[in-house]
Amino acid sequence: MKKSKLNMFFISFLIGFMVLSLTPDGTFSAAQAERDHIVVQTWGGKLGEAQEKAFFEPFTKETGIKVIGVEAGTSVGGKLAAMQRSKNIEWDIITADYESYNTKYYNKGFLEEVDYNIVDNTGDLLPSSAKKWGVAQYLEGICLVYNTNSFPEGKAPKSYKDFFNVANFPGPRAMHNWGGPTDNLSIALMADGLTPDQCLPLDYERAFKVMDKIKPHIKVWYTSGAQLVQALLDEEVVMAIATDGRAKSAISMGAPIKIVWNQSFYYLGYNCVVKGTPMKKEAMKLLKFCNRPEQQAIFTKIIGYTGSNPKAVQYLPVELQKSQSTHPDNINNVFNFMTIKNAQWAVDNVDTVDEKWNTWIAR
Amino acid sequence: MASAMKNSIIFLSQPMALFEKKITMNQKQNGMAGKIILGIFTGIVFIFLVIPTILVVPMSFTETRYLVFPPEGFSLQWHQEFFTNKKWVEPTIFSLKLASLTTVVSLIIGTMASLALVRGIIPGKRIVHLFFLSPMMIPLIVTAFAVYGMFANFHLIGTLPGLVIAHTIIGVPYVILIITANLYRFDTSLELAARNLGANSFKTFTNVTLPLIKPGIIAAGVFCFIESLDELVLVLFLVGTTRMTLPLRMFSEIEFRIGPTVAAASTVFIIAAIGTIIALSFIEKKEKSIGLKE
Amino acid sequence: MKLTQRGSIRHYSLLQSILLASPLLVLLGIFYLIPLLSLFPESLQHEGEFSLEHYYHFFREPLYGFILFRTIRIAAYVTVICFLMGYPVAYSMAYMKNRKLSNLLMICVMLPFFTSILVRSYAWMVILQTKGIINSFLISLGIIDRPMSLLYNEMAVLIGMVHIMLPFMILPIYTVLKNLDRNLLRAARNLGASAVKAFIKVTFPLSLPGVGSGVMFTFILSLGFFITPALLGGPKTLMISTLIEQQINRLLNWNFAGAISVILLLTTIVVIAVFDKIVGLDKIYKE
Repeated sequence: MKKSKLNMFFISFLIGFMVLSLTPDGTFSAAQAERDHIVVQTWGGKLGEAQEKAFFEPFTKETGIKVIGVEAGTSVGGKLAAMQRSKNIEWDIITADYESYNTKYYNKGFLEEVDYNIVDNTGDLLPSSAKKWGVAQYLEGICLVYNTNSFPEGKAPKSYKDFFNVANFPGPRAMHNWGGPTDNLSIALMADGLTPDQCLPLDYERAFKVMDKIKPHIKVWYTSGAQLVQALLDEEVVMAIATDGRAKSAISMGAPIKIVWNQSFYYLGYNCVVKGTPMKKEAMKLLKFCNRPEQQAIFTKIIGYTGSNPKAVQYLPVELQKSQSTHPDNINNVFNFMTIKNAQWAVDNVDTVDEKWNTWIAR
Repeated sequence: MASAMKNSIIFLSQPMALFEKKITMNQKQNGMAGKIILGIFTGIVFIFLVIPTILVVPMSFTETRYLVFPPEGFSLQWHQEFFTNKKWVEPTIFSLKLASLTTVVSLIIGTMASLALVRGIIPGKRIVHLFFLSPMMIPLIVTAFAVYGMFANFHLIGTLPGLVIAHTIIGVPYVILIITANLYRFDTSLELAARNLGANSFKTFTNVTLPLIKPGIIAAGVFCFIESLDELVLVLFLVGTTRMTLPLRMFSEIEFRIGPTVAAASTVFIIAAIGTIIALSFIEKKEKSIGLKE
Repeated sequence: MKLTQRGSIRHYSLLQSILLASPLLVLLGIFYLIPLLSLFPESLQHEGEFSLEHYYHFFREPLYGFILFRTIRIAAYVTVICFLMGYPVAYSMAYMKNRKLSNLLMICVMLPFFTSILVRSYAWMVILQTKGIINSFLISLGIIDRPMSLLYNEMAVLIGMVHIMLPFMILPIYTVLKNLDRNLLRAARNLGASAVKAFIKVTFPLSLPGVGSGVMFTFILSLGFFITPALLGGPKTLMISTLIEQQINRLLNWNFAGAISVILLLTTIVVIAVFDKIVGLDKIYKE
């Protein structure tokens, strides 16, 4: 008797499992090929939210075309490749990635060429925003930040040289280790006296010599923006080479830090259309929509990153305007990293720089 | 693995217990100090094993937006988020489906293979046995990368069948390990008897073998289920762009933002784990009382 | 007083056996063996043509050999630590007289198994982080005044991995110890051996199959570990698995990734073969 009860128990379990497994999936499985909405790869979190509020929702309101944001995690490249291989294009647009990566994607045949007949409003954007394979949406600035408690007015660091000067500006520091170390090494060279135009091609020996001096003092090698913000909030480091968006985020959360605009430079984050997408026209329309200054201002308000259209500054509340890289006061101090001499070298040598950096940092 | 083995051990050691009591009295004087040290050491290791696992539970009830211990305040908001927010619920359901299907498939295929290995004739048995177990030992990332290429060509990326296949491949080794151990252990004279009485292979299996290895099947099933539910590396590669599993969701949350909702998800996991273990021991107790009657 | 006969009676004919095993064989063959084998040709392609370039690259740049060596080293550390921590525990559990306590301890060992690796690694992140438990505790006691960097370094990775691998070490050893014929031990003691000597000469050697199994599994699993080093480690703990992932997803160098995978695969196979020679895999699987 006990046996059969137990058996019944099992059999019902099994049946329950199988029934559960065969139920149709939830709505987040986007139907493939036959689509009536645009799928955009986003980086999730606050950034994704900002894109949603500033671009996707207003776009849908205006055109009626639905836009869905999907998070990709860290493996954008891998997924793009898989999509091309299986001819199953699940994303229409990839967002906010650097020129070096996008160029790689384009060369491997993952991206469509931008149709500038549709995207015809790029005139106001910053130089280098309109590329063959993508349109810049915002700037990711790299700048020096310092803790105002450790370095009060008058004693504050003013340049990258100060970042590497541990004697006069002691304390733990933070730098990024999330790939694309060309800027870290360029900063080292700039600290050593070179002008931006002299940085590329990288003189590895010289750059690593400078980095060696600072290595023991780097307490946090952050691999995510959240990690950086946390370190600044916790006052774990007294100085950092940070991204401006995250720095502003930290400030708004109460971190006692200040941004140094001197020598600050930026990368443009581009939106690109995935090759073979069934929604090509609509995707291009969305790209055009993202150039509007009013929308970019909404984006900046939420996430802090400056939009690629300098005209967006005037749509921002006054207190935010001064801290934008594209503000008339700042625009001549900051420069687009990819416009320095030999910038193409950075794109061509992505792998080697990565390797040399890994070798150096691994020891 | 050990549950089933433990079961078998329980069967075996019943008579042994009689002998044990006699010895204890002789040995009481010796090695007291050693035993105490051993006891303390064992205690420390157990604390090391258990505490971190369950520490996440109280932290998931914090009111703050970041994790802190001891937790500040008491709030169910993170648990609420886990159970109501689509971005958590959908992956969880998908993971459960995936795990269920994987378990059923793995159990069926794995038990069949185990039978063949232990009770059958297979040329090159040792190599075949090793081959079946190898997915457990090959670094998962290598397997993931290799399978990814093939899946892309076969349009299996992001599909439920594809993922079930992948998880079955790594789930079956557990089944084989446990079931073969069980098959080795029990008294085959029962099977012989059944055969002699005229039952064919299939009947022998269902009426004699199956009930006896049931604890093993349950244990193996639980392992497969958990393995699939928890699996991250294969899923990272094979899940495509529009699907999401629970571990993947947790991983990206952890990477980008160390927030309490992950702690809430972890809490659910842990409670489910404890519940499963308790349920398992109940089933074991029932099985024991049935088994002893033989 | 043996209760069982070893299960070596052949019930199924050759045909039946092959039929039984075929679903798994087919599944593994198509979706596992072939993809793995195809890693080889993929790794030998460089810019469209057949070339050993990727292997040269691996051995020419000191970075990769360094990482491989470090991966092996960390795996070895984890294995040794797990053994030193795990054996005594398995021993206590096996020789414990209190059945209830023994069951409870078994549950404690199994609990980590049933909670996901992700959850456990995450738990360690939370414990070791700057505002985490250990730092808060030490600061509140006044032992240190600034929090220590316990996370994103090798020690954190070791702690995390040991925590995850311990059950793999404890369980096989426990199983073997529990099954040992107690008479042997008693005989040794009756013949005058001290507890320690009896252990060294009798118990330990007999427990070797379990030890071998535990050590092998722990080492091999540690070699290929990805999640824990990714979450708990820093730049100095770059391991082979992370390297492969970078090459695949960030740098899109699939051929090179293939080469690294092949090298990792071969390393694993070599390790298994070595274990086979020393301990004899048969003993492990027939236990």
